[in-house]
Amino acid sequence: MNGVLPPGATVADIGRCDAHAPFDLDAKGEKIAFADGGLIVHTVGSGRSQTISPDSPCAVAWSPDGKRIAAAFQRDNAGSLRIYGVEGGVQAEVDVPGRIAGLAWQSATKVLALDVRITQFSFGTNLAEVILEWDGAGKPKELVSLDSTLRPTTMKQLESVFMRGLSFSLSPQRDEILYAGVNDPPAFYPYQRIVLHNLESGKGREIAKVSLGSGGGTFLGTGEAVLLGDGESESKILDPWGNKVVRTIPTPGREVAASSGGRYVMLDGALYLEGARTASFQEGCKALFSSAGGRLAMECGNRLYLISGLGEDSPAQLESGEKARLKELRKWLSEGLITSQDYRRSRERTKQ
Amino acid sequence: MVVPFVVMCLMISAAFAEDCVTCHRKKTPAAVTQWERSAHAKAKVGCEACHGNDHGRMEKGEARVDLKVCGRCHKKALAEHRASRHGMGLHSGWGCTRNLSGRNHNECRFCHEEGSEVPTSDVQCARFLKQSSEMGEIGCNYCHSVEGSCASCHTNHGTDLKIVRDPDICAKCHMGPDHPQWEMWQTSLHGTLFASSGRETGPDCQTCHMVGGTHDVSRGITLSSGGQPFDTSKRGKRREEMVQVCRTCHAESFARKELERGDAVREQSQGLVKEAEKIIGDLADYDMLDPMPDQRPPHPLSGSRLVLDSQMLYEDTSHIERLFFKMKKYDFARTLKGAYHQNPAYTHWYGNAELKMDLVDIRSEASRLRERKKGGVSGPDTASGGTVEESLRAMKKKLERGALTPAEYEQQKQRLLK
Repeated sequence: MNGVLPPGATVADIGRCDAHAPFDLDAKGEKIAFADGGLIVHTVGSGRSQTISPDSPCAVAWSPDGKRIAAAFQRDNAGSLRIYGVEGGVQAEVDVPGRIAGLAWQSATKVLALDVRITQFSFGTNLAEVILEWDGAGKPKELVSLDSTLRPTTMKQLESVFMRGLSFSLSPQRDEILYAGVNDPPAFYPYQRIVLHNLESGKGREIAKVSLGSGGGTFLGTGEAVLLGDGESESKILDPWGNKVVRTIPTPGREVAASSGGRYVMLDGALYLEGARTASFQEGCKALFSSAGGRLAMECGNRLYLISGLGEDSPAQLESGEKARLKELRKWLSEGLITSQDYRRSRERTKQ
Repeated sequence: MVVPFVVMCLMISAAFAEDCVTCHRKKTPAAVTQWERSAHAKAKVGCEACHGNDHGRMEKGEARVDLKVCGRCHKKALAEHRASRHGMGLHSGWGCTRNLSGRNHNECRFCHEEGSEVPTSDVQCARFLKQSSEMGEIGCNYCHSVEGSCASCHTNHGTDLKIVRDPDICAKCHMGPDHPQWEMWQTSLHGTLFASSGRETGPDCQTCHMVGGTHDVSRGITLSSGGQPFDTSKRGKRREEMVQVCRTCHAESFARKELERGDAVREQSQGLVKEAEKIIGDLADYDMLDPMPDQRPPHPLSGSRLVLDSQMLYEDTSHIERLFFKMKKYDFARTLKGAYHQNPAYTHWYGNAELKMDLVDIRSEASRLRERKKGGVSGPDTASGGTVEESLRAMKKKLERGALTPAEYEQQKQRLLK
């Protein structure tokens, strides 16, 4: 590590993990689920690790109440989705056609998954990214699908992107997702499209084009700003509706993470506090903040670390009425019924 | 002696006719009889002059005699016909059926010359495109083929002007629920006088619309076929033409006053149609039509868009739109055409009264649809915005269809959001 951690912050070595292992912190940051020759749950307080499944997952996500874990597994060309209890035991399982590249819980009962389906043809590859909604019973519902045809050279370039998983992020209000699609136009460079999709309205909008090397984007704070890496030279904190750049950070953003309070971001292995770089680790480190704030899990070179004591309070919980109003306004915004200005004005009125 | 080329052709054509007649006297005796009695036969214009000499093509139906064949000799008539609504607007009855399933490929000749991919007109008609091939031929083309076929009025082989000088020839098409001009004329004072005292006292269709034998039947008409007035410059010229026609019998001031009364009836009637159109547009803005356009088979030209203009359909539509179809296409047309044809019963009882009763029905159906929505059968989505969301969506639709200006839209939206 170079630089200094914020006062009071400490780093703990959790142990080894699979290369490019998926991992997730529960809401309070007290438990980490990750892959290490199987699906492991590590309890931070006791230091105890428990194997939940002998199969290594390709994606993992804690339920909002921290009592269940959704995990995705890959078998040959098909995959499966499972829900485990925190002490182990499969509660639900379903087969899916492709490879799950991202997982998130939309509610206490519904899981969202980014299913990547690849079909090879003589002239290239068809890449279909399908967002699935699964309630743990029956077959998953397909919410939205992005299809693209990729040239063989592009497909090769994408291998590294697939290894670390495609960008897939759920907003703190659990009403919008941010994910990356791939576009490979003839005679131009291939690129990733960062799409903001509102789950309430079903409407999606491309908010940025970034290079294949980008780690995509993630939500900040209440979800009214997103952090994006262009994969080449800089990362941006962006107002996704007004397309207004709030802050630029001079690092490509091949790995991106942001704290729920929005004060911290982790980009390409470096920790930034309100835009200022405070400490840096290995460049390829992949990080994730706990949603309650204050903790950061990090995978660097087959080892998992936990940084605690970041001094960021849990974000203030919105009242249910305000939360519902916010979701409603964002739904209208996604449908073009109101402008981003209308949204901000209405949001201010709601706060008052 | 030098024989002119055309005369020589006609002589050859007449000679060939002898060959055709031998067989066709048995196969198509009426055609031969009509031709033998015609001016063409007297002028030695034989079969080949119009049909050519490729018997194979004739048998396949590919050597039809269209108006371009006639126009080679009848240049003035062709020019007048083409300048008229008969010669221009009637392609609105046609449309490309290429992409429809189970089509008869022979119908391509409705619009394409043999071997050509270029249509003779790019105007499409949604109602035509909804028909079967057979219905399109009988129900649409039997009238709308007047654009390309002189035989539509003149018959195929006869040239007797008595046929086309008789107003009954117009009745074939200018009758029925949507534009019964012939019936309006027949039961008007003009028509009844014609029946009792002849053309000298009672003018007929040809007297007013084919003055001096012109083929431009649109002279003096100030409206489009959908009842929309032309712009001022064109309207003024057309009105003067009609006043001159009326002046043959009437004082100019009387003629102007009568036509202006017709204009007033048209405007008043159009107001009723506009009101109905607004009611339906507003219902559609709130997704209240049953079914909504995106829940029906797509409109052949506009997909899932609401269509209330001249391309509206009478099938695969909601009940209120079907009421509006009758109102606009039948009753509005009858009211204003009845007025211009001075027919009191058509203007009032078959027109105006029906038009106003249509509006009663439309208002009532609109109330039913609004009540149904309130009743929760397909009620507002309270979980995601309720009536504010519906109002926002409706306002956006109004903006998109031009029912709100951007300033009005913004003002209403801000009021709603507050």
